[in-house]
Amino acid sequence: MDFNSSSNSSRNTPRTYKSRKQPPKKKQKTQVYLSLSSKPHHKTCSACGMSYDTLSPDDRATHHKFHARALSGVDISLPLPSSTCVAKVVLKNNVHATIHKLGSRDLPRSTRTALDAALRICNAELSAPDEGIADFFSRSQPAVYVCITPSTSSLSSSSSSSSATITGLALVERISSGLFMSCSSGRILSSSSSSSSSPPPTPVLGISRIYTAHSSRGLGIARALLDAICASAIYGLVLPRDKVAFSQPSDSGCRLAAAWAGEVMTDRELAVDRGVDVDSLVCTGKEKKIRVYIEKS
Amino acid sequence: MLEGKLEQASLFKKLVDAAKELVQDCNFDCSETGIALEAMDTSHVSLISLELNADGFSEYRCDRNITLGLNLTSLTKILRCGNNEDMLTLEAQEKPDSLIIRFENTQQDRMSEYALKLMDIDQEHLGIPETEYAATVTMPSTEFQRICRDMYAISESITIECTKAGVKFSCEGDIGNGSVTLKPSASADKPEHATKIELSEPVSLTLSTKYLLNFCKATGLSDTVTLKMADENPVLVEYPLSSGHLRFYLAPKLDD
Repeated sequence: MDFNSSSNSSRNTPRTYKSRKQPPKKKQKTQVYLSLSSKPHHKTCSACGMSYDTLSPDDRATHHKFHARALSGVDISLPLPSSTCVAKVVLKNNVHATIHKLGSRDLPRSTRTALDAALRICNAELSAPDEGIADFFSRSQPAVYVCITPSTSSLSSSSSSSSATITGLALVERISSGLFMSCSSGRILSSSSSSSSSPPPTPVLGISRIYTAHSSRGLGIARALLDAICASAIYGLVLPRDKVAFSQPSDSGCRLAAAWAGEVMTDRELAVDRGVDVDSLVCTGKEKKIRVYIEKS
Repeated sequence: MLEGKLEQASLFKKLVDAAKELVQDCNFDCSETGIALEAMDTSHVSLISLELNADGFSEYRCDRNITLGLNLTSLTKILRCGNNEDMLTLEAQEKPDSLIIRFENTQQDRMSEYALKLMDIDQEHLGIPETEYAATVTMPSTEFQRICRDMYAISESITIECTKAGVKFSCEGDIGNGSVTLKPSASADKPEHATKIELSEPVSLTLSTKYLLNFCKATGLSDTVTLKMADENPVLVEYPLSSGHLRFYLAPKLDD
């Protein structure tokens, strides 16, 4: 008796309703809002910087998701393999973190999605082109470094498996030339103004993006990422810091680069940068320059 | 100082229960004329306006205007600590940081007192424009609740069409459609069972069922409900109180 199969097949058949004629297409109606408030309903969130319409449920939901990710980082559902771990660090406040170097190969889909989400948040904050992780992997010897910390966010969407969050992200590529930039003016220093007799060492690593989630700032994640990059970017070699250059640093990026690998500007460079004579120069002797490079998109 | 005594806690409980469906945090404005609340829900689709006049309290005193910023979920938790028949007293100082809620049961000689912390809520005054309504329908509140509840299962929108012949509630959903028509009726012995229609021109409005069902949480406060409608204007759903009113405004759904 084929009792089971018959009951299954009837269950799987999509249910259809009898109708003799096609019903006329319903006119779409839109919910309108009460406009009694004099306050604008477009709001820019001061914490995550997203502008949204406070009246639209879709906008509010999108903001809620973005806000949680921008502030606390992006949750990863699968733990990253230990083979990708390049450093274990203890940050300020006794926060334990691991730094992983990820190449384009063998990335599980969920990790790729999380990386993509983290990169898009980073791009939004830096006003960078909205590239995904796949676009970045088409560059010259690319690598992605992520800092993973235990999840502390109550907003995390994870149910049970995930307890880790991407709180730091750095995109690294190989480069062959670099320039010096003045931290105070943001101007590129021309090579002719450089007074040193020997040419500056050419950088080999370019930091395309470096980003820390808002709630994890001040813990030293970015510096830990940069140290891990120097130690592991080229197999068997610890790169000196002057081999690393940054692409279009933001204000905070500039401060990070100056503190991590800034070099004091010479009087001549400073005079050229300020457009004054060397003799009339007033300086603290702490004006710094950093290495930058021009990113090929 | 504010001191307001209600003979039965159930009235205030029901009012807060009805309001908390729409707003979480809101300001209660206390003046010598009574206590008022006016707030829009977060999506700015509906508005609640509550007025509890001073003569509705058995004792009422408010020397100066006081604004009480309350979280309604927290207020509900405290109100649950008292029985419906208890005497309820609301008390607040001039610049209060908390609202004192007192329950007294004279039969059992039991008195309980709770303090609810207040919040600073940035809420602007909403000027509700005067509207001339083309149709006013007064009907039993339980009937309105039943229609909303039944139609909520079928569709997310209800269309209310009001003509001289009667008022028709209809809905159309994925599983089918339905309608309820009420004709004007007069019930001499039970006027609260009557349906009254006052009309200057026929009106048809499409409204969100979810919000209407939220308004129906106030059904226990009044035997009748009044719907005031004008084309392309927010509907006014009013539950009359013995001294004061509870009004809800809901923005309609319009054609694209």
